[in-house]
Amino acid sequence: MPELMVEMGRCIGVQLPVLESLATQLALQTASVAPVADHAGTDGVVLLNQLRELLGVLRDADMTAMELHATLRQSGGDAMAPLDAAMAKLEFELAEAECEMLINQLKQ
Amino acid sequence: MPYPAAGKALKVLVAEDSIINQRLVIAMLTTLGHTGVVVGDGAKALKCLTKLQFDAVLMDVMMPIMDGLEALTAIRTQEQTHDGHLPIIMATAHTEPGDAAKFKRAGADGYVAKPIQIEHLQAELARVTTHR
Repeated sequence: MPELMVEMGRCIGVQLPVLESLATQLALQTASVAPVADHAGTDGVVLLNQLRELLGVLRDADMTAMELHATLRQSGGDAMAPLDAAMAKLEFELAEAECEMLINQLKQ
Repeated sequence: MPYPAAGKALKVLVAEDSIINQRLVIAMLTTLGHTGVVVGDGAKALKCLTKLQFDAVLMDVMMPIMDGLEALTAIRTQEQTHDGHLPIIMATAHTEPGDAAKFKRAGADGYVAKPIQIEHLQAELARVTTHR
């Protein structure tokens, strides 16, 4: 059993770069077509308000945007991936643009 | 609920360059009742730590720009001139005998092997944030 676990871990390690590349490509492709979230009604309004708050903090280039983003990171589904990536790189201008795009999608 | 949050909710800085692993770790932290702030490399982790307070850091060893061990060393060096000790858990996919001892010598408080198991992460977070 331990040998199998080790072998499984090794296989995952070998395939991880390929999976990451595919996941990144998928995220970029789906971001433009995927709905911002499956949320409707109240949840969508909450997410929209959170994104607006995040946008305000991003415009101030404030590191506290990291904390705010952490609380809503898993709210928006695949469409949030480009915003997540920009935040992880501390690229606040790019994150601001991504945030604005998400807000516009939610408002439609 | 399989993993009830034990103790207080922690704010964890996650330094991890892999998008898949970022998502996995955030999902685990959320399941455990904690919050994770993600950065993509060690240099950004240092930058984030200058502005924000965290209860612990989960640091990948292999990252671009500044790897986990460099970042760990830099954090411990900075702590020599400032009060406090930030619990840091190292994470690596390439486990070798002596890894845990090597990380401990470099100043790490804990260690998890990748792929990270949620039970192990939970145990290490609890240990490093309560037994110092």
